[in-house]
Amino acid sequence: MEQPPEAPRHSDAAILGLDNVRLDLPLANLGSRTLAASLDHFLLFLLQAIWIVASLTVMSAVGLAGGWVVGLVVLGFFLLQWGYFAAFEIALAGQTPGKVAVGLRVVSTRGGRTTAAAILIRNFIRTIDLLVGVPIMAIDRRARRLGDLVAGTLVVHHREDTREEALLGRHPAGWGAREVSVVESFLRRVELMDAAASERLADQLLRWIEGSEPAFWAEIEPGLVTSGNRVLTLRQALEARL
Amino acid sequence: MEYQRFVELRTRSCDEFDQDLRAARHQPRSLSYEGLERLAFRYRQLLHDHALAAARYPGTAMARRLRRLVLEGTHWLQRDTGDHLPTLRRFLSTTFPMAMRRLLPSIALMTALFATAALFGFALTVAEPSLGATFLHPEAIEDLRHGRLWTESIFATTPGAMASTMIATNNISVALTGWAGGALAGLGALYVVLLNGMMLGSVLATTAHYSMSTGLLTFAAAHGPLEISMILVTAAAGLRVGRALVVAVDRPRSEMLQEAGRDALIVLLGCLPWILLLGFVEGFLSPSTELSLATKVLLGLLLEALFITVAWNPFMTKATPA
Repeated sequence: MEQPPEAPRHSDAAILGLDNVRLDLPLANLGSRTLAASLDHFLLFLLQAIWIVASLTVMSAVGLAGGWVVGLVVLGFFLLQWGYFAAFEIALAGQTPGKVAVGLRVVSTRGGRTTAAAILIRNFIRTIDLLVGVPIMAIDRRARRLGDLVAGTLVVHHREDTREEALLGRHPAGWGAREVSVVESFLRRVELMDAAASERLADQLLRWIEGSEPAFWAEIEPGLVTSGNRVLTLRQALEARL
Repeated sequence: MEYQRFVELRTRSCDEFDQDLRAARHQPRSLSYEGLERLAFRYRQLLHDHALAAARYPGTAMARRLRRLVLEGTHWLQRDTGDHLPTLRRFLSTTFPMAMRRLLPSIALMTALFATAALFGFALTVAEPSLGATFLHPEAIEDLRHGRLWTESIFATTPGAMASTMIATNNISVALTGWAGGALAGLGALYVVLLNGMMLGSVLATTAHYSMSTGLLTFAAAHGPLEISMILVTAAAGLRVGRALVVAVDRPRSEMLQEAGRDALIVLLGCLPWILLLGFVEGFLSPSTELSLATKVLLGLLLEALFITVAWNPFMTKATPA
């Protein structure tokens, strides 16, 4: 069964990659970006507090004159304020601790790595974006703030998915991408689901398979589908490589 | 092609690319030319497989895996051009002066606005001296009444190191705010220039009102000219970004914005060392009572001339590439 191509999500940015192949970048929206920025500002606040306490403690222990102590505190505070985001984004290839936690990354408009210059530009404009960034992100179709517009950057979702994909080794002949994706999604998430609910859903899927192609079970090697556990039965039937 | 056949055929190439990419990301320096070439070849293959999977098997696990790998590969293998930082010599000899020359109309505009605002502020405060309190703290006015500049009491209680750091960081903050404010259609940059112009004119008029203008000039002579230049140049860089945002030309706005942003960043980076130097001059030399007015004026003019020479680079030939 042929399926029409899936429409891209509203939060995807379609770009043309190498050989003009379409790539849909998973854009980060206002919510996730605000969350990441909040985490970063909280961490920045902590770092600044630690810097003040640590430098005052060290300087008083060493016995440096007051002018130098305050000068160094001010300098460190200033560097943290203006350099935190830029330094992390340059060092971590477009990520800050907040972005790592939320699973975001700054990329170029072509999906590649941004330049150090672009990172500096977007972060120097951050002060202005604290005032106007949110409304601009809300109206921009790619959820960019002013700094992103000037620097030519995008913020996209980036989370290493450690869960293994459940790839179907076989399926009833009449199935298309939609049916395959439903079952694959179920098998991928089954470990996170309530046991009773997963058994019930697996049973429904097995009945659906029987309805789709009654002869499907006949092709399975005898003894393969042995378990009374419906999830296991589904897994064995569909993940089996013939 | 059947989905499971597609999965069987592509799983191996996906696994190999995944493995190679992880290794390359973990130890990029150990990647050989052949290894990089193989990675790029597999990336290209996967890109096409991804396009096929997105069209024929959307939403499936294989399509998701291919998309993830392609996005990872794109991020690792594609880098925007122009990320090669120029050497310091090249930056000073060509990159910075070229950016400054492109910025000249904006600098001229900002200078005119600053001068107008300063004259306006001066005239207003001469007509109504109480307006001086708008920009000066009541204690500073009180100091002026007693024939003292407020800077004397500040520097009498603030050590030079502390004052120097605070002045430098404050100046950088002002420069960055003016620069970044330019992105607000130039409004932020205009605000910084007009406010500073008004402030300068008003403060000059107030000190003249209390017959203390010579003292102020003595204090500001060493750092004043360069400080004003820094405000004007960084704000002009910001204005260029704002102009790219507003003015319609026959090129895409995003392209114009990025070009203006790059130029503005070059100018800002070129100005930062001078702003740091200003912090030192303002913190240590300007308050000094041992230096005469003539020495300070000479120092101020020397700094300004040095900045203009570096920023303009009269030795740059036309043949030098931008």
